[in-house]
Amino acid sequence: MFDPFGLALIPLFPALAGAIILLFGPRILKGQSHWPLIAACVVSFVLSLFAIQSLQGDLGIREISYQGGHWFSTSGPNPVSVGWQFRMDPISGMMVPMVLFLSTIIATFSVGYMKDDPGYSRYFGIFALFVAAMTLLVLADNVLLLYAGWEGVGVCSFLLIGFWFQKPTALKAARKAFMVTRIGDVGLLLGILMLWVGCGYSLHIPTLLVKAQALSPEYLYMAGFLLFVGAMGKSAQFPLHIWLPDAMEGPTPVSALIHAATMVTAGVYLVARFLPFISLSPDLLIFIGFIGGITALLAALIALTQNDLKRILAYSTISQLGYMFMALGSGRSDLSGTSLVTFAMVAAMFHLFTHAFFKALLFLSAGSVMHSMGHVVDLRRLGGLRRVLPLTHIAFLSGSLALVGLLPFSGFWSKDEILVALDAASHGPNRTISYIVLTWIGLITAGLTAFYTFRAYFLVFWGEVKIPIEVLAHGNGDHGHSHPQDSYDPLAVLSDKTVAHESPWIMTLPLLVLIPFALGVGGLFGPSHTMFDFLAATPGYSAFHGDFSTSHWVAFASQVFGLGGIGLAFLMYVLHPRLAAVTKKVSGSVYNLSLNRFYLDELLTILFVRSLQILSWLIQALDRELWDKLVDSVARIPAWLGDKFRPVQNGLVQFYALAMALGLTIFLVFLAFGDRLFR
Amino acid sequence: MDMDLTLSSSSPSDFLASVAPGFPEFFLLALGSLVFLGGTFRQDRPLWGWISFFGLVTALALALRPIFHSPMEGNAYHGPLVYDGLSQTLRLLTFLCGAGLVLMGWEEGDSTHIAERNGLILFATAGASLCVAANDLATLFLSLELVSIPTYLILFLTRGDKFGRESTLKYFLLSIFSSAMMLFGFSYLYGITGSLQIPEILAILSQSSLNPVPEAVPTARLVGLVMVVAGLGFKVTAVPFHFYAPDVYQGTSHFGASVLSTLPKIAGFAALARLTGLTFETNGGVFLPFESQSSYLFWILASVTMTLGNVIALWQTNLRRLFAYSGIAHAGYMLVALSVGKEVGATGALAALVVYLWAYVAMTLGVFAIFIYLDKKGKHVEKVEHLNGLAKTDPVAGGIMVVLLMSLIGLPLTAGFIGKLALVQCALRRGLESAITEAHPNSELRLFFGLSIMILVNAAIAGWYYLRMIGALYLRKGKDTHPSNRPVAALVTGFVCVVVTVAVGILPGLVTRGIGEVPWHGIKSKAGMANPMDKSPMEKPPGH
Repeated sequence: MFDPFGLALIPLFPALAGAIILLFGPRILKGQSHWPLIAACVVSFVLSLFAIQSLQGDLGIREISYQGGHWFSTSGPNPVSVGWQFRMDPISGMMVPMVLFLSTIIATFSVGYMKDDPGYSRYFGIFALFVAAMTLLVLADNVLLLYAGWEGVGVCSFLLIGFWFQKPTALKAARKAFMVTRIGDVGLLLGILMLWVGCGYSLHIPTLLVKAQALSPEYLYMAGFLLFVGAMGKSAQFPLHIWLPDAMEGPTPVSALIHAATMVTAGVYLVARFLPFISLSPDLLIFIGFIGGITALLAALIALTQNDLKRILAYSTISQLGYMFMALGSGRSDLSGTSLVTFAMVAAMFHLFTHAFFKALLFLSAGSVMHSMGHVVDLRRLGGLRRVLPLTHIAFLSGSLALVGLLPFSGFWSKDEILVALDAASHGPNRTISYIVLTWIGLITAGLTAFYTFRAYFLVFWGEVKIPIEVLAHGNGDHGHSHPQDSYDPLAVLSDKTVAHESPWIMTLPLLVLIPFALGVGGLFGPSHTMFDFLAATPGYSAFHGDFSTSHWVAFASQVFGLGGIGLAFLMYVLHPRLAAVTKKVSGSVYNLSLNRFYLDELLTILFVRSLQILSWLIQALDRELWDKLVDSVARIPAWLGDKFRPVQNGLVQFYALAMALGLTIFLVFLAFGDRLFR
Repeated sequence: MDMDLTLSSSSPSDFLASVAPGFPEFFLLALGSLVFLGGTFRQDRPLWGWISFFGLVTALALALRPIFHSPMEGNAYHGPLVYDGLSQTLRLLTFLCGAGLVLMGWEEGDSTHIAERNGLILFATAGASLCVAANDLATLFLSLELVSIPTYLILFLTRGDKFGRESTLKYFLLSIFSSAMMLFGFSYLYGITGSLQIPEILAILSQSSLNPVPEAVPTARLVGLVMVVAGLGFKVTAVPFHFYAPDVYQGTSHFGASVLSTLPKIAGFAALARLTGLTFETNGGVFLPFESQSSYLFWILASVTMTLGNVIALWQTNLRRLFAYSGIAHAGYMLVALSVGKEVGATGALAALVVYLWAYVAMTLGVFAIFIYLDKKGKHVEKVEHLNGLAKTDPVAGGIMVVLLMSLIGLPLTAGFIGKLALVQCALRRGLESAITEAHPNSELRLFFGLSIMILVNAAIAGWYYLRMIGALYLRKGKDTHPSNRPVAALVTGFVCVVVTVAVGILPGLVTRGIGEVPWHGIKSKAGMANPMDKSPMEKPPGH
């Protein structure tokens, strides 16, 4: 039996580690700043394993809740009391160990990646705070704590994107991420407030879930919509997805952890958490499904033509998050005979789970490539690296295979479940066509995913060996190769294999550890229904008994699309490299559209940024020209008044005596008759 | 009824017992006479300085640990001096102020009459200290004159040129005029009540407001009030009795201005508080010696005084003239306490007045101490621009000056802030509480809310000219470097003033012992009734 107090310790250890690192890092710990973080992650991870151990038992315990100390309370007609309440049920029981496991792996990887960075301890300090906030977010049992964690991960994300703040692009990206997610956060806050008001001023999540069922459909729709807006911001869904590709300015391990595996999935977690009442509004469900679908397709299309390795992975992340929202959108409760709510939640969360592993692996491999290649991420300047970086190559290939979802690998099992859910939803009494469209979007996206993933893979790891010149500039001086400064040419390429080398063991070891997880978690938990049984037992979700034997065609179709995509990529980038150029020419404007990300950034800039700038200019002009002048003139009154009274002080003593006598007289007259003046 | 009634109503031993607690003051008077006499033999700065300083310190110690205790039983009269909470705290302030004046003047001015000047400070200090304890009209008048007459001489001694003579004469003439008005008012009060004892006068007047007696009494009593206020208004520079202040301050020296701006004001406000009954113990009964009229009179005085003082101060470049107007404005703030008075629901006005008086004296004395410290022969510190760059050339003096100016502006952690806060609290409370209990709630509410808003607006206006001085200290470039031979004693005075300012700013309770608390807590709500801790009488009949 697990002591519930342990739940509070899970976020506490990383928070303490963060405090220790930030306080003592710069002066005392310095190059050893990673130790508190790794220790805290491991301890918390073990704790969380113990916790789910007791969740899984045959005792029928499906949740552990810890009602911790009092945080604050307000008085008034609707008193609010907030405590440190934590709860672990299967949903968070799946998330927490995953987050902590990946944090441990990625923190270890970072030791090599961030070596000798001037902000070494700052990096690990914020990292630790992020882990604390993320576990808090997942374990929170009241919406206020959840919101605290939500904002906490947002701040850490902001700080880590802008980690190299001396780079103007990083600063800009950090600001953009913060502002865009802020739009979502406002939605989340409003949603929380609506729920709070609507459900009898309760903040306790299980209470909210029960009481929200009694709300009117309109109220329900609005509250759910606002919550989803929050999820859209955090999980980079169209049209708020624009911050995530820019967030790649941060250190790559951060991209792996925060902007691929954990934080960006917080939106999915949120919607899954509240799905039992969101599913009561079919309109909202189909809205969520289509936002997910549009995002998945759009991001995959954009990823087709990008030349920046990290950006391809970022768009891939956006696309996969879209998948998860599509799955959630299929959680209909209005089907005849059965409810899909539980199944949809399981599908989304399962994909979230597998995705976290293989996307983290892909990002770390990309980081390893960057580390060895002088931080060059341009596909056109890399090539043939499978002979230079053999371990990284295997890691990237494993990640790609899992992502594409070829049969035995992870991605297949989770993606298949999503497609099955969508297909099942299309058998409902209405909205059949909508869900059929979503199913096909899913399939097409799977094909596109296969193509862009393997395009990147082939370009980087196959073909002739291309090594960018930056390799020499970035700290590889210990190899004794000196190169005259003036011969640096940004586009120049080295073919000297001995210059570049595989990353150090502290970076390759995490990759190797991650490979089996990335490839295998799907197959381990998927076909055996372990994950399904575990998640479906979450309190608040109805038991699910359904038969989807008719949906096997989607599994077959997704394999066809996936293999087709890989084959096309092999044809275009390995067998006949000229074919790519031809396609580029033929497709013309479509290609440009994809390359320029459908001009969405520019569109949003014009729509929102410019108009806000005009507004702010107007307000500023009004402020300066009108209000300021007005206030200034008010401020002139006292001086003016003083000036008018100055002549009275004329220096004549007889006048002063007269004035005193006059004042006396006025007071006497006033007191004799002034009663009426005051009353 | 004749004059005997006042002084010989009790046996000689009772009289002595009631006067005995005034021992420190009598000691100062005797010491002052000695110094005066000694001055005919020797004019020695350190000698008379040390004697006067230690005399004041002794008096302070005697006041802190009194040997003789005055019998205190409510409002009963036991003699010409009363040592209640008000006199206890203000006599400490007075002795501190006197010691500060002696220290400030250690090396100031010429040495030809240094013994006389120190002796006069002792006299004036003793006078102000007796005044805060005076419990009958005769003692009050005498002690006020004991402040005024030494002040004339100090003004003359400290600056003998034609400006000094002009300002001395102006002060002398107008002071006599104001004393005459005050005496005239005293005669009215005596005429109505037949008593010179302040508690008895107040008691009789308060009862007569309940049981209307002859038609003429209410009017006569108000004439008496106005006359007394006019006389004391001169001491505290209330508009329109303030006219002498700017001219006299400018015409005299820094030292003369610092005497004028402190001792007469302490005496004047103490006398006003006692005469309007702020110290009168009502035990929850109805107490209205001057009906609400005194409230309204002080309302007008306060608002006009603070506003006029501040708006004219905006134009001043001469430092002493600026501080004359600044002093007028601060007097305006303190008059708010008298306006709040002791009517229904008004608690803590006396405490607020005392806190502000401490704040005012500490700030003003400190500023003048720094002026004296900076002053030097041939190059006097007369204008705001003479302070330019002080923070660079003399960081200690600049730092002291900044803290004092912040207190004058009223920034938190300083006495100036806590004093203003106390006054605003009292005014708001008076408005709100009377809105609950009085017959004409809205007019009272408007009046006293208006008054508190006026304090805030005036504080904002005042911020401008004080900030201008801070700007001069820090942002402007000064010409001269740090001269080595500045009087350290004046700097020490300034530092002690800073200590007092900050101490009172953080712990205002230090100076309000025995005179009630400032109602720091707000008023719950109109419906929620007043705090049970308040002693405010709720049984007042409507439409008195």
